[in-house]
Amino acid sequence: MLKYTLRRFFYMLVTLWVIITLTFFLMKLLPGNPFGESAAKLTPENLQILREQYGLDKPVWQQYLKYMGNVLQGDLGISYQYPTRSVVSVIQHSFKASLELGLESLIFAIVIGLALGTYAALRHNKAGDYTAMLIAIVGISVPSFVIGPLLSYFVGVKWGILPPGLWTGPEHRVLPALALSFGTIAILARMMRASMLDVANQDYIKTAKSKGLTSGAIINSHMLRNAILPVITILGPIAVNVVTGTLVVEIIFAVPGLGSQFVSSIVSNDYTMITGLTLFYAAILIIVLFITDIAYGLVDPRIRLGKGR
Amino acid sequence: MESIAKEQFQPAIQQAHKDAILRPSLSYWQDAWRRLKKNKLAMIALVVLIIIAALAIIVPLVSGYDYKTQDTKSINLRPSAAHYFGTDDFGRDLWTRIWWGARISLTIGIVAAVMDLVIGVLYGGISAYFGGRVDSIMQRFIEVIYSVPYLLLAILLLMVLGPGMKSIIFAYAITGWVSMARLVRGQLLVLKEQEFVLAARALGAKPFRIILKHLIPNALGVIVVQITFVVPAAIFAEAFLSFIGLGIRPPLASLGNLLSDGAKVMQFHPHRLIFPTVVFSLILLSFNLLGDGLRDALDPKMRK
Repeated sequence: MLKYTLRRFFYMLVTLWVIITLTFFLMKLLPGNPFGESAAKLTPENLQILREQYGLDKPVWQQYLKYMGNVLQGDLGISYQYPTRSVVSVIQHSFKASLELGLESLIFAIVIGLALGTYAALRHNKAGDYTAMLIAIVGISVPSFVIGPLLSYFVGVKWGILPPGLWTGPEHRVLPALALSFGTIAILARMMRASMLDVANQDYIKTAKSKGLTSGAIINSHMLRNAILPVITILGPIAVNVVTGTLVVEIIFAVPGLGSQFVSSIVSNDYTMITGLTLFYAAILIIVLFITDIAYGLVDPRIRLGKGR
Repeated sequence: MESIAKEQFQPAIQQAHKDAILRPSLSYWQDAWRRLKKNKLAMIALVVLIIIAALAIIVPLVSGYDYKTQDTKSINLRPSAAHYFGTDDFGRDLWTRIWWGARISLTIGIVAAVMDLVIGVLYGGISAYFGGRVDSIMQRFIEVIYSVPYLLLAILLLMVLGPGMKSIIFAYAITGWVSMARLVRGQLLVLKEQEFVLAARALGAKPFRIILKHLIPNALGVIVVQITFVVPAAIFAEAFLSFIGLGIRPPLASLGNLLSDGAKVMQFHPHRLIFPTVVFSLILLSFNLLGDGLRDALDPKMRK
């Protein structure tokens, strides 16, 4: 297990390095002048001083090493949009809201998704199954930026049950988290249903039945536990879903999180902010993937002992 | 002695056709098609997709409007006989714009899938066929690419390349081929140990001929299923990128930017959200259902 963990850890570092490198060189390719429109008013001497100050006069490989060094020290640069704010301070300031939103939506998704999938499997080929799968397939085919405004408008504005936006208390988190979790609910429900049906055909379920266990006990201690295993594998992709989803959902519900920062920096061409936030998001996702890999290795010995690559 | 008629000595059964196979033999694809036809949902999905594709091709040619001509006299009209789906805030005909958008979204989905297919199949094929060190280096590379979140990479690429259809397809293809490559490799690793590959090699076939003529056709079922899931994923990616302002730029329409514009004015002009949503969801839903159906039809393990 230690060897497996170390190998995964090494890949995680390589991936992070690839992303930092990619980001750096893509940044070099970005159109436009890093000093913005004010550069036109500067004399060549001043421009030269500025270039020296930012290290832009050095060869690209030296800039690259400096950038790598900065990133490793947790310095992602200064925002172009707000010259007084560094990217790291923006992250510190607005990450909390995104994290709360993401976690809450993940909890919704896991609870509702697994319940829906289990219900569908237990009612296999009956009306309950079809209803549950219909909900799931709608979740896959209607994007969160349609579900979001609909929830906000109907539940928030028209019926006034929950606040339609903003971010001032726990009741404000319900709708955004729900909108964000829709797609994930669908994926989890489908996966859980397939997994449950697979388990239901196994011999040990027959054994359990012939021992005379009640169906509740069979479902609880035999089916659910085994069926949930494969579902863990997709927690990585699901985390990716949720994180990229926050970009959209935060805008719709005016959540002061990283996602809305990200989108506003795209709109205003704030290059350092975009690259800094991309790096941060990528790092989070890669760490989550690493953790799911390890978790799956822990619960399923075949992965770490066998051809665990 | 009474005479016995000669006919009574005839054999009871005509032996000649006893061993003949009465049912015509079906090829793999005929068999899959037969099973797909039994799956009502998948067939409905297929029909819906054909209708949508036909509308996306025909409507922009015959509607009498185009996607960019503005008309200040007919702003935000509700659906009527002149404008089946109403108009938007520049007075552009939504019926035309939606089918233009569907055309662009479908093109993005299909081209992205084809690029995925070419890169993924070649990469997976080479990796699996040569095996050994080639395979393990190629797999390490995939391992790294696989954990790069593609939407984030797409955002960065679009910043560099500028928004547009080509950039979206390029950004999707550069990150999307990995699952296909993994899938193809997994299939080919099993196939390449079989006798017909040995026979081909013994007859002197070159590696690329074996990969393209012998291995890939046998893995085609899995590849086709994967494609039906790549197309909606690429369409979804376009919509997502359009929503955050990096997708198709107006005045050109795509389902993504129609949806995000519609969502903004939903309270006052619901038709501008409803129609794009219905078309978009039908496309995604149909591809997903068709993919599910194809998986059941093409996967021999599902046979009873």
